[in-house]
Amino acid sequence: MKKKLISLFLSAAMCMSLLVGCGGTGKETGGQTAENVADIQNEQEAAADTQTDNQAAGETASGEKITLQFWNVFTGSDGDILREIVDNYNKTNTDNIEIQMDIMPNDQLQQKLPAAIATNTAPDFVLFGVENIAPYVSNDSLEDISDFWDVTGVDKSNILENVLELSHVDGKLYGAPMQYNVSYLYWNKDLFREAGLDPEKAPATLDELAEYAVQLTNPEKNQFGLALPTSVTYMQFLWANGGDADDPDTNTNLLDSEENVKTLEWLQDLTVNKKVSPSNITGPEADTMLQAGQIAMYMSGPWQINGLRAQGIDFGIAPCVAGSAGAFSPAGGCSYVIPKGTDESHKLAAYKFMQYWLTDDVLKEWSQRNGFPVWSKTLMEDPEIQNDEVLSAISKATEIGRSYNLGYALASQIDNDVMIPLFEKVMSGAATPEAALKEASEAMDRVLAQ
Amino acid sequence: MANFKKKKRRYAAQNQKSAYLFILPSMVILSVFVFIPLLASFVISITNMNIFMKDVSLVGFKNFTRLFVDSRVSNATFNSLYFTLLEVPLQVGLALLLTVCLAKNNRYCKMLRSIYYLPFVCSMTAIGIVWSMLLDPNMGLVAYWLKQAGLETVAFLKDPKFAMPTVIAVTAWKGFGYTLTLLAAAVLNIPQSLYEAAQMDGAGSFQKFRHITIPGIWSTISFCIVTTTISAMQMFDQAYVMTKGGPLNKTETVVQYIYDRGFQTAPYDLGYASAISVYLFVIVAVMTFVLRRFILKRGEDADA
Amino acid sequence: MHKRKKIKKIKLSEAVGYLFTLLVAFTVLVPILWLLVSSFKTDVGVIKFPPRFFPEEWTLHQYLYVGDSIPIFDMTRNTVIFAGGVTVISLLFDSMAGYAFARMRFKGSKALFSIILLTMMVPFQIIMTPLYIEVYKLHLLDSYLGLILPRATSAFGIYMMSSFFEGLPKSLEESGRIDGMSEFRIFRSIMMPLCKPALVSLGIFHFMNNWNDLLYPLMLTSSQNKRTLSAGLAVLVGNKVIKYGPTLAATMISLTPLLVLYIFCQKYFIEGVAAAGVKE
Repeated sequence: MKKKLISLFLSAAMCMSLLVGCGGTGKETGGQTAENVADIQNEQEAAADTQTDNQAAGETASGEKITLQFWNVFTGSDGDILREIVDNYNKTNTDNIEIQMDIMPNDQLQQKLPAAIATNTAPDFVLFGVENIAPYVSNDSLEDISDFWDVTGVDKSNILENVLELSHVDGKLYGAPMQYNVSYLYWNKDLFREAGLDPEKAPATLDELAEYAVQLTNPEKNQFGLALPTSVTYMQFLWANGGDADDPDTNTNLLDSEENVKTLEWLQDLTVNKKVSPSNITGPEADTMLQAGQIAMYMSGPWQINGLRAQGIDFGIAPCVAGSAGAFSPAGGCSYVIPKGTDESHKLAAYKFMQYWLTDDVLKEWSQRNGFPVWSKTLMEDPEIQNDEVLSAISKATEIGRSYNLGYALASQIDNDVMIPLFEKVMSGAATPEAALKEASEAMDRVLAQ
Repeated sequence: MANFKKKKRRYAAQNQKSAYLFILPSMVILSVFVFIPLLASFVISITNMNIFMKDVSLVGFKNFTRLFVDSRVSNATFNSLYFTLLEVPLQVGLALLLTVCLAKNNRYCKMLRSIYYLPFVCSMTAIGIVWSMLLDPNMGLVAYWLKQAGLETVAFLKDPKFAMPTVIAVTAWKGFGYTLTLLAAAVLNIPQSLYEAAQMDGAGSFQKFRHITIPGIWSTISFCIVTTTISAMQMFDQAYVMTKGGPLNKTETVVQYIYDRGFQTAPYDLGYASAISVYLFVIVAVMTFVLRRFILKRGEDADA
Repeated sequence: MHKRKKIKKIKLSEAVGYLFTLLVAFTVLVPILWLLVSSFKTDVGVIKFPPRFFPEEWTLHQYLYVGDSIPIFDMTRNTVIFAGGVTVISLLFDSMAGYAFARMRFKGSKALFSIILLTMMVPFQIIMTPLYIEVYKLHLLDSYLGLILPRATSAFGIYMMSSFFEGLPKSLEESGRIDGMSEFRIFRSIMMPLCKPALVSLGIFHFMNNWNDLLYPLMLTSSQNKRTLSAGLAVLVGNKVIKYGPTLAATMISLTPLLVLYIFCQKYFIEGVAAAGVKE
C-alpha cells in the first residue's frame, strides 16, 4: 500500500516536473529555450514598456528611453565610487539611457547569473572578474563584442596590450576593460624603522624578502614579518625561480620540476620553521592585521590602498620580488561583459556606457580615488598621474604582470583542486614539498585530462 | 476501550475528506516548490549538465561511480558525520540539562531562558563573524584574554585539529536555547498532579525525572533530536562563514563540497553536484528513519 | 540529622545549578554584548591590537555609513512583507497539516508524512537552480508572491505542529465531535487557542529564518528595490576587503527588529504551554 502510494506520488510529481519543464534532459531544455524565446522577449518588452511608462511620466517624449540592468560584484567602498560614476552618467548622458545598478557579492552573482542567462532574465550587462570570462564563453553565455571598437570609435591602440588581452578568448573580444591590477608588495615603514631597516627600501629578491621577514617578526608584540594567507596561489614565487604550474595552450602539466621543489622548500622554511606568517589566516584577516600594523610585509592588490590610508599606516608599494628567473606577478582585472540574450538596442546602449568608462576623465577618477593603476597610454602621460607617488609606483609595478591561466576554461579547477591545496599543505607543514608536489601533479593530470 | 477506538476510527473514516482538505495547501506547495526541484536534481544527477544548462546529455551513472572514488567526498562525509555525532548530543544534552535547572516559571528561570534564546535569533552569518573575530588567535579578544591570564591557547578555527570542535561548539551555542525552549514548554506541560503522586510514593528527584519528566517530554525530545540531526547533516553556513571548509579541508562538509562543485569551481558541474546531493539525501533519509524508529520505539517503551 | 543533611544537599545542588546557569548566560551574553558595543567603534578601534572590549571612542560613524550606502527603509519594508507574509501563511498551512497528521486518520497519512519529512532533508543549495527556473516559468520572479509562495509551508513546521498536537490530551476533540462540530470548527475553536504558544514559537522561528535568509531572497529577486535587508547588507561586506566596522553595524541593524519582536513575544512561549490551561 505504502509503496504503491509512493510510486504513484513519484510518478505524478515526475509528470508535473515535465510539464513545468525544469526536469531538463538535454533536448528538452534546449527545445524549450527555443520555444520560449519569443515568449520571453515579448514579456521583456512588455516589462520594459511598463517601466518606461512609469519613468517617462514626468518627461517629455524625446526619443525612447532605454533602461539598462547592470549587475556587478563591487561590494564595499569601491562600489560606492562606482555608483557615483554611474549616477553621474545617468544624469549627464544625452542618449536617454538609464542604468539600474545592482550590486551583489561575487558568490551570489556566480550562482544567479548562469540561471538568469538560461532563462533569459539576465541583466543587460555585467561587471565581473576577468577570470570568469573563459568559463562563460566556453558555455556560450557571453556576447561576442569584437565590433566594439568599430561601433564606438574608441581608440583600441591607446589601451595597453596586456590589459586588452585579458578580455579576449580565442582572439575574440568579450569584455571592455574596466580595471587592471597585479599583486604588489606592501610594506609598513614604521615597522621597518623599528627593526632597523631602511624604511624606503623594499626587498627586491626572494632572499631579501625572507631575510627581512625574519627580522620583522616579533612574537612578543604579535607582529609578523610577512603575511602569507591560505587560499591563495603564490605564482609569483614559482615564476620567480623559473617554475610554473601548467601551460594552458598545450594542456601540459609543468608542476613537477626542480625549480618548484626549491621554491616550495623556501616557502615551507619561511612559514613552518621561521614562522614569519600567522598560520592559516585568510586574506581578509591578513588585510586587517596589515591595517592594524601587526604585519610588516604583504603581497596583495591595489584594493589595500584605501584601507591603509584610512587607518593612517605609513606604507610603501613595490613590485613583487625577483628570483633567479626574474620578477613576475599574476595579473587580474575586471571587465564589462554582455550576457547572451541581450537585445541589440540594449547592447548598443551598454556599448555607450563602456565607451564613457574608457574616457580618460572617468579612468582617471577611478584610478585616483581607488588607487588602481592606469593603463590608458594618454593617461600615463598625464602629469597629475605621474606626480602621484602611489599611482606612479603601482603603475610601474604593473609592468611585470603575467597571465596565469586567464582565458583558460580549466583555470578555476586548477586553482581549487590543485594549486590552493598544494600551497596550503606546504605552508602548514602537512606534507613535505616533494610529497605535496607529487600529489598536486597527479591532481593536475586528472584535471588536464578533461 | 476497544469499542471506543473502533468508533473513533469509523468517525475518522467519514472525515477522510476533511483530512485531505487540511493537508491540501501544504501538499500542493511542497510538491511544486520542493518535490519537483528535488526530482529535477535527481534527473540532473544522471546528466553532464552544468549551471549554464547548455548541451546537456545523459551520462548514466558516471557521476555516481566518480563519487565513490573521490577522496573529497569521503572526507566530507566523515566531517559531516563527525559534526553531527558531536553537535546533536551536545546541543540536546545541554538543553536538557538546563531544562532540569530552569523548568520553573519564576522570574529567574524565565529571564535565563530568554537570554539563552538570544543567539538563536541572530543569523548564522552574524554569529560566524562575531565568533571568528573573537576567536582569532592573533587579533581576537578570547585569545588575548587567555594569553593575558597566562593560559595556553589553541588556534581554534585555524588549527586543523580544533577547527571542527570549534565549529561544533559555536553551532551548539547558537541552537541550544531553541531546543531548551521547546523542552521547557513540554516539561511545564506535564500535569503537576503526576509529580505530586510520585512524591507521595516517595520518589526522589532523579526518579521523578527518569519516570515522569523524560516520558512526558519524549515526543519533544525525539522531535529535537531528529530535526537537529537533519540540520546538522546539512551544515553549511557555519563553515562557509568561519572556515570556508579549511584548514586542510578539515571542516568541509558534504553540502559545502556540493556547493563547491556546483557553484564555485568552473566548469560548475551541476550533474556531479546533484549526484553528491542524491548521495547525501540517501544518507540523511536512512539516518532519520533509523533514528525515528529507534527513538519512537524507546518513547513507547518509556510510556509503558 | 538525616533531614538536615538532605536540605543541605538540595541547597548545594541548587547552588551548582545557579552557578551553571549563570555561567552559560555569561557565555551567551558576552559575544552579543561585544557585537553591540563594537558596532560603535571607529574603524581603527575595531581592529586595534591589543583588542579591547569597549570602544575607546564611541561613534555612530558605522551606522551612518550603512545608512548612506543602502536604502535601509525600503529593504526593511521588503523584509517585513516577505518574512511576515511567509510567517502568517505558513503558520496556517503548517498547523492545518500538522493537525491532520496528528489527530486524524486517513489513508496514506504515514506515507505522506514520511515524504514530508524527506523534504526537510533537502539542503537549499541542491534545489536552488531548478527552483529558480520554476519560479521564472510561473512568472513570479522578482515579486513578493514569488518570494512568499515557495516558503508558504514547511516540513519543519508541519512536523513541529504535529508533534505538538500529538502531545495534547486525546479527549479534546471528542467533545467537539460529540457536539457535532465540523472538523474545521474543532480545529479553529478548540485546537487553535490551545496551540498559541507553539504557534508563537514556530512563528518566531519562521520569521527569523526568513528575515535572516540571504541566498534565497537574493536568488529570487533581481532588482535592488525588491531586495531584503540581509541580502542588502551582504553588499557592505567588501569582496576583496572586509570592512569590519560597517559589517558589525549592519549586523546590529538586521538584528534589532528581531530582538524587539522577540522581547515582545517571549512571554507567550517562554511561559510554556501550561499557561494555556491544558490539563489531562
